Amino acid sequence: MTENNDHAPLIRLGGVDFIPDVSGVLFAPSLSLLIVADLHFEKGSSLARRGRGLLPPYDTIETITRLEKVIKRLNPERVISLGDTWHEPQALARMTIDDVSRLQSLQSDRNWIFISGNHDSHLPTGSAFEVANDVTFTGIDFRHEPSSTGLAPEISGHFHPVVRVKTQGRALRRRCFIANHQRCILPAFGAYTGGLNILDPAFAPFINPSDATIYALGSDRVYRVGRDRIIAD
Amino acid sequence: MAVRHQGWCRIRYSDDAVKSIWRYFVPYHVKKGAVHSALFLNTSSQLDRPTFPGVASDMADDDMTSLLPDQFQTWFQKRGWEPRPHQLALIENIKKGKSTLLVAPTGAGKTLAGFLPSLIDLASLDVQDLKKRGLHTLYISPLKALAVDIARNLSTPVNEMGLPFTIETRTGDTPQSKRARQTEKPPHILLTTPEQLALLLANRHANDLFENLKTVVLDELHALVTSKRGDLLALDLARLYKLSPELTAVGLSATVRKPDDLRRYLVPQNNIASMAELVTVQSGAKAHIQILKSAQKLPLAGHTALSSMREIYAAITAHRMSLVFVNTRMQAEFVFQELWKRNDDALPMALHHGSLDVAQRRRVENAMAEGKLRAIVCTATLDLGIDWGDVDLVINVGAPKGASRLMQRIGRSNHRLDDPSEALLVPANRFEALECQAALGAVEAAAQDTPDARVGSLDVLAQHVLGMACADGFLPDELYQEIISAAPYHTLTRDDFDAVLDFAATGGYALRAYEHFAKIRADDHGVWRIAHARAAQHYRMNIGTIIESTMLKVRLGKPTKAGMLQRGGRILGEVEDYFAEGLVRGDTFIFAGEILRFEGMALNDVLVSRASRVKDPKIPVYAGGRFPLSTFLAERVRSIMATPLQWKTLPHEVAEWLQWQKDRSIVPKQDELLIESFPNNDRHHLVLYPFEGRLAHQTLGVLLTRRLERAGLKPLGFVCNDYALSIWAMDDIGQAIADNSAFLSNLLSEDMLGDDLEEWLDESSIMRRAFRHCAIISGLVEKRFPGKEKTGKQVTVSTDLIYDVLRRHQPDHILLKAARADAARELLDLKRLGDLLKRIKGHVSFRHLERLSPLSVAILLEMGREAVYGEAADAILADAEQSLMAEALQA
Repeated sequence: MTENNDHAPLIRLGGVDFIPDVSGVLFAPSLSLLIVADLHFEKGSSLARRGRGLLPPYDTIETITRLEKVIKRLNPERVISLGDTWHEPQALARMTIDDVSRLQSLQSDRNWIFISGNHDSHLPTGSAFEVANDVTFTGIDFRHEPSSTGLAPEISGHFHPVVRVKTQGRALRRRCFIANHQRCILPAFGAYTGGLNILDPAFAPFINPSDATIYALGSDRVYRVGRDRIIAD
Repeated sequence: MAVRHQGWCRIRYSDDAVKSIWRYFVPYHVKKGAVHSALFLNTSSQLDRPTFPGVASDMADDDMTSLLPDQFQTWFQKRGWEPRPHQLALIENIKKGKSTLLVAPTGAGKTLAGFLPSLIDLASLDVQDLKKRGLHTLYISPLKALAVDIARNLSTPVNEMGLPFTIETRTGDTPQSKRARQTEKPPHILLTTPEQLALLLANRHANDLFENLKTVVLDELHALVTSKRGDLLALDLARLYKLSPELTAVGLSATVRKPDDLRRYLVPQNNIASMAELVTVQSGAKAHIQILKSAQKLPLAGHTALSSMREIYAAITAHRMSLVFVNTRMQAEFVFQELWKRNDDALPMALHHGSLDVAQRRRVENAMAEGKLRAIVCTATLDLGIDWGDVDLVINVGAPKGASRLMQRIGRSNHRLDDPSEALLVPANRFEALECQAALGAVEAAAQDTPDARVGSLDVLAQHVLGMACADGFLPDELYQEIISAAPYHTLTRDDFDAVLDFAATGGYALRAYEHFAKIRADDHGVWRIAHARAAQHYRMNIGTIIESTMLKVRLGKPTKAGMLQRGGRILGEVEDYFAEGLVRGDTFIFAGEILRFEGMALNDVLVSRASRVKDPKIPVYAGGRFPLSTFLAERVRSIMATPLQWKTLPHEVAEWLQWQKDRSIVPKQDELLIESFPNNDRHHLVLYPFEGRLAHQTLGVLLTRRLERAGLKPLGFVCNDYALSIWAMDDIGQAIADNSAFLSNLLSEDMLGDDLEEWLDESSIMRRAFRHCAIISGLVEKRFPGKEKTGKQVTVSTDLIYDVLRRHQPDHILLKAARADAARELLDLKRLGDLLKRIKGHVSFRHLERLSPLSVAILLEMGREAVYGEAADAILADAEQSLMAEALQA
């Protein structure tokens, strides 16, 4: 647990307090639940396979290392990965043995649920990891893509939200959480995951930035961003 | 080597060439007024003027030269000209297969000299041979407009002599069908750019195309070799020599400090002594250069030259056509606006800078060529290239920054080699007055300060390796030998070459994850070829070394009643994306000579409306176009300051200022670094005067601030210009220095370029910026094309993310090495900073003052300048200046 909880911004959904963590995960202390979105393992090799450039093949190990750090720090009993854990169905087969075993040892002694996303909905059968469609827990829906029809409080990923903030003539682009009383969309966690500006029309059916709260990831903490400072790409 | 003087010119060449040429040299005669020796003026509009750059002569001379065939002699005579000696020297050299560098000032007939040998050689072929000849001469220019213009002008002698040659251009604008035809049935003379040459060489049929190439002409070589484009061209030249062993190269260059660097560049470096021949044309008449003495006092800071605007306008009215050079696009906009305000005579004036729409720039150039303009306010965009107009005055507003650059700019006036150029230097502040004086001395001494030869970049090499794999493939041993024959890559180690090869193939990663996805691979005979069509296409799309910051189009447009933004208005030009980011609806700024109001963004367009009634617009702030003060000029500035006898050449207020400084603090000796400390406005200042240019000062400022932070002195910030930097802090830095004699030398010790620098680079965005450029040039990521960006989730991975991952997991990767070299050279100026720290050891003069010094006022005024614009800023500055100077001068 972090000590300065008093100052950390909180997201309250379905009667539960969630902490948007600087690493990009969402954490509910009362449920000992950690939620992470869009890990996109093996995105680098996936691009390489399709002839889209030979990016450093260290994104999976980097993502796992970051995940290890935050799990060690928060030590949750439950973990939900909100889909697109693997960049493509074949990605799992390309992970090194070392990466797979590190991921597995992260799973030991805690409950893990992998929700399937549009990138990894067809993982090969019999693989080491079980994937669910979506999950409801303590009255909150956890799914990959937000749903425009669901009535229950909802936590999702998929959109890789980023916010562009204007300060003194300069603009910063940061991954962010976007949340209102009904739902929260998580930033993408994977090392090579880009982002979609929250002012993009794609967000509109699910969440309206003008009555939502934006939590941008800084280098050592999360910042609530004033709506007047937000600009489009 | 022989040197001959002939009044206005001096030519050097090898001894055996001497006899044959000098026998034919005809003394130089000019019929005043009948001559226009500017080479390749825009002939279409100047039909009444001779366009051939020979020497006019009223003497009939039957013994003109055996080097010139009859038809050329006849043609020369018809025009009333004789060839200039350097033109003959080139003919002689090329005939003997000797590559040659021609160094000549503007107006010497350089470009024709480059083509004459080829025209003569081609003219000696009979029609049948000519048909079979294929590509004979390749001409490479840094500007595609220049290639097009020269092709047009070449056609004059060729048509008039009835020579049946084909001359064509090939640029990015050439239609695909014509390009395909050009590779199948090439013209005799092809004019193109370095990028297009790289593409041609990466063609499967490159061998057939170039095997009989006789001559390659590299124009504006002095400008090309200072950038990564020069690296690319060097590699392509090495390849041309391999495909066509009989090739001779001709380099055309303005005067440079080290011609030997260029002579090496032109020929394969198979042994240390390999250099092209050198032909030098000394400039004719000395330029008339004056420093403007304004009726108003020069301000201490600021770059607008507002106080001299009246005199600038007067100078323009007194001349036919003036070129007004400024250093940044922001200054260009400002100066143009101010001149326009004073334009009571309704003189036609125009603006020319890199952000303006290409079509608009072409219109200005044409109007210049037609003599329709009286003044053109421009940035470095007119440094190079075609002599568009009949300019009789060059005005340089602001600091010249470098002696060679200034001389090239001045050469834009009076293209007649033998008439003096006329120029006016307009300092905008007192430090700039010192710099102008230093530049004047440098020009008088004909001293040059062009940069040292480059060490070839590894990212450019990676691009070239891919290109060679797209061509006919290569054996690594042979390719390595070829590459180190190019001067910039002569010191490339085999290890680095192998690392680049590995990078080009599979990314060069210690984790061998991509063997199956290789872009290039070796066949059974060890020949490396491109592995799949997509990799070849990727290479072709990403060719080149010029990475622009993303530019957004500025377009007229207004919100409709429905509140939607309406596009489709006229495009005024482009701005860098970061400028548009800072705009809020309703903001006004000067652009393209107009005051515009920002209405909003629509896709990649910045929508604006005209806001002519607005008085105080916010001016675009561009980083582009700023050159740091050259080391050489800096030395001269220090020398002027250190020599009070020279002060009387300076404007009165500048001399007075230095005298005040001498009375209240000290004026540093030539090789001394002055450091002052004093309290001001609840802050303690530490001001250093290294005169080493903005980049080096910025790096020094960051590193010193970190050290002071560690020493617990609570530094708050720093500001710098080309001459000095000031750090301010909560605590009394001066006292800390005065109390501890070792403190200052520790603060300035060279080890700041060790761990402190590394720590900073880890945190700052500098390495990320350098890495982005290397990642694009080397082909790691795809270049993004404006308008083709996906609007949704980005498909491409940002290079910042790649940088972070790569640095953590493979810090010795070849691309990080390339980025590091670029950052050190182009963003940090580490070499200069290192030299400074060495130079000042034991030569630091520290003054612990009670109040600010007169010299320091100029740098303190830079504080907060970034936030204020235009005239208002000057008013504030003037006010601030008066009160500060009053304070400095308190008894």
